[in-house]
Amino acid sequence: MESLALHEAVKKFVEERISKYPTKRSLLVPTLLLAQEYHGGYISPELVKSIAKYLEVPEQEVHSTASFYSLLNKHKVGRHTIMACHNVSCYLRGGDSLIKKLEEKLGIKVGQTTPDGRFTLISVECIAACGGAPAMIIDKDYFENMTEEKLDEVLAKFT
Amino acid sequence: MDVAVNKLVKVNINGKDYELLEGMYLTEAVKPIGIEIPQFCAHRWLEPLGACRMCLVRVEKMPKLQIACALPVREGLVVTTESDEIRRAREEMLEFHLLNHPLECPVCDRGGECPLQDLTERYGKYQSRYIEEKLIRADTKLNPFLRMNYKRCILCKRCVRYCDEIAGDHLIEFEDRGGWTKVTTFLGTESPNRFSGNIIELCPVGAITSIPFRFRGRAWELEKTRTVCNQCSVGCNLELHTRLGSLQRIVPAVNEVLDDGHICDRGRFAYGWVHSDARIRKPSLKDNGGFTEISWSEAESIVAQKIRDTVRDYGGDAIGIIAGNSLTNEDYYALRLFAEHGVGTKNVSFSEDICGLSAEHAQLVNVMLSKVGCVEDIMNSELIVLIGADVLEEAPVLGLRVEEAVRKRGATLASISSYNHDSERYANTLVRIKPGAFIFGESAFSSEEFSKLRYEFENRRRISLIFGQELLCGPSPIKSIKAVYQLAQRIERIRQERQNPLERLTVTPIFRGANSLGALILSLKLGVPNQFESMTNILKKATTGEVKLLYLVGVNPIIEYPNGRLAKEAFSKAEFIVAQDLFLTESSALADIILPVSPWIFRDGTYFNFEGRLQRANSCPLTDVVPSDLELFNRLLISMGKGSQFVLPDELFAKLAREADFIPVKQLADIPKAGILTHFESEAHSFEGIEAISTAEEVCSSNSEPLKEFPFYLVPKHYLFRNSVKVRHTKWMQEVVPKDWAILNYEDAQELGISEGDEVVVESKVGSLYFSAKMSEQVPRKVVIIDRNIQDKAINSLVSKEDVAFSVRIKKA
Amino acid sequence: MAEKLKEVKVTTALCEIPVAHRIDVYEAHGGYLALKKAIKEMKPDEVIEEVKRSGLRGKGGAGFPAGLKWSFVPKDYVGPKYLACNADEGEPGTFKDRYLIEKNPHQVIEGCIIASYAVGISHCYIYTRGEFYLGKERMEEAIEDAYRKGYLGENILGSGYSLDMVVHTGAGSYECGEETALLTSLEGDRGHPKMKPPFPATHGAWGKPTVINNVETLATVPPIIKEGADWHTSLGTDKSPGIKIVSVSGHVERPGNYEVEYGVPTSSIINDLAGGVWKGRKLKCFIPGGSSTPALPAEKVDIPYDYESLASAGSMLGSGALIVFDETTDIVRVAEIITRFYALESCGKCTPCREGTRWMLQIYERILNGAGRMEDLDLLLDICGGVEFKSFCPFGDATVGIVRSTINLFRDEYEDYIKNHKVYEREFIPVRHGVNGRSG
Ligand SMILES: Cc1cc2nc3c(=O)[nH]c(=O)nc-3n(C[C@H](O)[C@H](O)[C@H](O)COP(=O)(O)O)c2cc1C
Ligand code: SF4
Ligand code: FES
Repeated sequence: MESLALHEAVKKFVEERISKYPTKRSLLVPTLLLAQEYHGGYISPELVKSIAKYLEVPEQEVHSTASFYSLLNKHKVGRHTIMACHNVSCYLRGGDSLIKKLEEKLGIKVGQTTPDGRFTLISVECIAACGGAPAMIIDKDYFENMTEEKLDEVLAKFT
Repeated sequence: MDVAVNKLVKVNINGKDYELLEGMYLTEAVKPIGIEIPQFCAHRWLEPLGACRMCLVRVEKMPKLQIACALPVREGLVVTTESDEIRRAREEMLEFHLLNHPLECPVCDRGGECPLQDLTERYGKYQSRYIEEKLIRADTKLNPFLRMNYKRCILCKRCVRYCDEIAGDHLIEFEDRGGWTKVTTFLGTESPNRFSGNIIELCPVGAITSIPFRFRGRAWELEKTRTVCNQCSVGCNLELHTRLGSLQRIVPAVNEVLDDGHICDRGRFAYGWVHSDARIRKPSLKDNGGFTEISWSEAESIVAQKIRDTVRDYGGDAIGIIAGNSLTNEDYYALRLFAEHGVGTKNVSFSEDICGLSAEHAQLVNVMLSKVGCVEDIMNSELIVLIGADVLEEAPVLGLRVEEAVRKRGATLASISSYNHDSERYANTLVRIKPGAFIFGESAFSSEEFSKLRYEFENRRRISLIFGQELLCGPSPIKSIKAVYQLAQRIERIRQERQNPLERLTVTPIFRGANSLGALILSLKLGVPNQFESMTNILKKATTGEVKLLYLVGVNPIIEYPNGRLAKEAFSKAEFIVAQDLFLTESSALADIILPVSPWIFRDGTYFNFEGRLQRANSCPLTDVVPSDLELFNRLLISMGKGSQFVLPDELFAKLAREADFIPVKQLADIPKAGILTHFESEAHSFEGIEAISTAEEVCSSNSEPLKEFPFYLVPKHYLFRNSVKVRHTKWMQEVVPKDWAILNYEDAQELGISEGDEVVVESKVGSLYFSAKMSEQVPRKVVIIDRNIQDKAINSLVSKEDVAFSVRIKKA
Repeated sequence: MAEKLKEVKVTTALCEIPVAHRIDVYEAHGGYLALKKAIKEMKPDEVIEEVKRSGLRGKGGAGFPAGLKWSFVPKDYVGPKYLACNADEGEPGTFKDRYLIEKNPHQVIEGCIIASYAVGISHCYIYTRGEFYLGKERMEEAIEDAYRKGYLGENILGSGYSLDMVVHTGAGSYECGEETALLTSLEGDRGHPKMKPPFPATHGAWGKPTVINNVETLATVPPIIKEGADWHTSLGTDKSPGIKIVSVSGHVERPGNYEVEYGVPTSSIINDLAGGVWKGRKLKCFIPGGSSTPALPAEKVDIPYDYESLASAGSMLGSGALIVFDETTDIVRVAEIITRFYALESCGKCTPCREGTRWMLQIYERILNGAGRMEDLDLLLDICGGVEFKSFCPFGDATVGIVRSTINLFRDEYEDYIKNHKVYEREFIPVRHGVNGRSG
């Protein structure tokens, strides 16, 4: 299985920061998070092999570390990822029904991807937005004080 | 970490005062005083992890229970290890451990020797309160030998830590997290690992079990016999587990001063051949191409008659006897008596490892034996230099102990080699030389390459030099060996000149055989030296007709002898060939008669391992239909009318011990369990007597260019999992045998238009063979590395003995 | 009528100004004066003494005195020393750190530089959560500006002291908020906590002395240096001096971050600042300091909001996340949510926490599916006994707070579920670990 070439942005990210760490391996976690964006949105075995080679870390350890963190996707995902919070403060202000509404709107269940590959819907633990509960993140943006009415307007921003 | 454990300090445990070693972790420290603190994730080989929480104890003035596995003993420590609170804590922990655990003790191979089973019986509650759905995940294979059962795994991480901290190969890691964590190999890509079998015993439950041993016996049904491994020169102590008349598995027997309980996967798993049908079980006589089985009496009389006729017609010396390097000392001694009294020949060779070694090298052998270092010497040294020695492949457990010395005792590792091999992974000083150019004298020593090493030689107090197979399989082994001893001599001389004398300097050879040292001792040290001849000379005498009958004992010259053509010619010219062996090999297939012998597990006897440690091998309680070597010699002596000279190994050992003053014990039974080191230093041979390497010789070897049309150097490689006869006839070893690779440098391959997996022709001036190409950064330019033991592709057919360098050319097939 | 409680904005003062994250705006409001004062007029030991005298306590959860923690780092140590600014903020109910690094990054940076100068640190890592993309951007911009202005890098303000700073993101793990797990993650490995002893002050990241402080703790350092330790001790109580951002969430009219003095009555935080319980409903109970702190009944709502009072009431101040529940709350469902959180975020290193949390979750799921048994309640309490104080790191202790307090306070609601085989109507089935499609 050929290991794919790392995207330039990922290499630049590492080269810029390498001088600030005593070991090259220290950059593994942020590099995995960034590399995921440029390589199909998930940590594929090929990506593990090329990061292992680039950061000089054994493949098994890159795979093991990648499998620990929940933001690093293990499977293919849609173009956009909706992360709706199902923790206590969001639950108290209607977070669960917001997620139910999202499932109905997108026609998929939590953990699945829309057939057209546009959205992947997952429910996540507290995202430090309890003041603006119920809250969710789509890709990199926070959406707080969400109501079912606002849903369409927010989803429209992501094609 | 290794703490300076020396001072005894007063501690109070369960109300009683004791004196324990300061700095030692409590779980280990209390064992000698009869207190048991249960533990799963802690182990004396590993750094404390603190994951299983079984060792929670109450320490005075500490608010919470503390884990004993990470609690160093200190003055005035007050600890309670037995109380209601602690009993309840252990019950709770065991309940958590057993949450997902399936009740399959009846079908679990670990039953009867399972720490989880024992500790649950001793500390656990009767009933678990878990009624939820257990986490079920399908079993997988970690590598060709290990099966992983996730339901039983308690995630103590011993296996992962062993592979990272000790074996150094990243076989397995944790995947996922929390309650769903599991042990996996990445993508099932099993990286080559040499010690994976050790995690079977290390696993405190039955999660990792041996595939070859699966369901082949309960622990309490197996008869256990302690013996010594005969698959390499380290001589790790093993336990043979037998049942229903056959060998079921091999496990470590822990010799603290040698292997410390580690054994390699070859020693552990390469045993299937013992009961394979391919073994020859009846004497076989050659007739028109094939072999027909004949009775023992018939075979003995044929051989006896042949020997008598040859001696009558041409004299005793017309019989050439060549012995391998893995017989017991008693077999060698019997063979010596057979050769001297039975046959009366001086053409006898025990020197398979250095086939040019003959009586004239007796002085070199003496120096070699007197300078050998034991494991303690090597691990205690501040500088360890590997000279053409990939110890992880040639003497794996010694390689492990060397790496332990580097990691835990701060030793510096250096390596002189023509390519980067795995044993260099902890080395910080690397000297690259041309393949085969281990002949370094004055000019090499003062060269820029050696500068870093020179500094080490001039300042380290305790130094160990280790030379191995890359040197011994090179073009001129004897010269290279002399060069190593001269290097040692030069170091000693420099240190005396600078009034900075060495505390300890040892030079340790790594030979291929389990008793290579014993073979040298019994031939060129103990025996009347001129009674022995080199293997090369005997083969040459066969080609000239001087030797008419070749008698082979456990040796396979056709592929093992460096010059394949000479061996084949000798075999064709010899009038009669007798082969005493376990299997039909390349050599025994050309013999006129094959006399089958029993494997090492059926023999009592002794071996000298690479340290010169005399160790006892015990036979397991099984009978074999074929005799051992010494029994066979005795029966031949009787058929030749010389009468029975010896019957039991004990007699032979007693004779040997009487003759050798350096063997401190006089009876086989007196040999201690951990073996006994023989000290040759008493005959303090310093280095003189080894004539200096002339600068001419040194110059010609160090810049010996390969011939124009053969631009590549061929480096024969001695792999751990080489496809030798024993591995070939063990079916579960086939997946780990190295493929028929010719390993090249990336640029060389590119220039020749060769890509990974292509078929290539490797040609020398005397022959050519086909291999599949493989590339590696470890290989420098203009070098190709090929396995010495590839079936039907013996690279000794490419080599001629006079070569100053093994030069070949390579092109795409 | 006692006058209404007012905020004492120290770290959140500048957060209201929309562009406070820009360095010029921050300097215009007195930014980096404390740094200049510390570097030019004070020796490192004096800075530590000042912070010690101020009584500043860690705001990440343990409330450990910051000055004391700094003084544990060996002064004469030759070699690199590190500062990790903990912006992992994973404790349910807490949302102050994200607010600070997005709105007022420079005060955090200034705090980090002063702390680093005091302890002799060469590298500072701002460990932020993977989700905080805006926070990371704001922090990276601010750091660049600080380098440009000479507050970071070589020879800061001509003092000969140098410091490198970089933002390091995690990738989704609450356990990486724990100080040693954070360091393991910083070293590029799975977020498993390290053995203590040795403590991070002597053997932290890469085995070198390391200080770990929370974002809010570090943001409080510049005001202490500028206004002086006595100013800080004049606020709050004598045992809990100074101020704390309280992240109020749940059933209140105006959830948000409110910075108050320690010791103010919790009821006044809820009623005066957060607009009181919403929809005119009655207070049922509240979690004072985040999901790892035991819930307290409505009767204790007037309790002073400081470490000592909350501890004596049987709970903890923790990271200061006040979650308010009104009378309609299904407290058993709340306990299940928080137990699921701990089961899924456990790092899995040690047996009691890894197995105990997953077992408790399975029991809660069974109770909420109407198949609970009366003995399940004592079983849950027993499991808590097996997990608390016996796990490898304080995560284990954090998991038992909600289970014990809700069973002790609202045993009747649990028994209602069990006796009547009540089934909680789930609006969706959560799936573990993002998009794996595997549940349970
Ligand atoms: C399970 C667990 C999670 C934690 N999460 C955080 C966190 O997200 N942010 C934080 O600042 N401290 C967190 N802490 C506290 C840290 O261990 C550490 O005490 C704190 O960051 C040190 O900073 P301080 O002294 O300024 O409070 C957590 C502790 C535990 C046991
Ligand atoms: S208590 Fe144990 S399993 Fe839980 S987070 Fe800490 S180390 Fe990991
Ligand atoms: S043996 Fe001490 S925690 Fe496992």
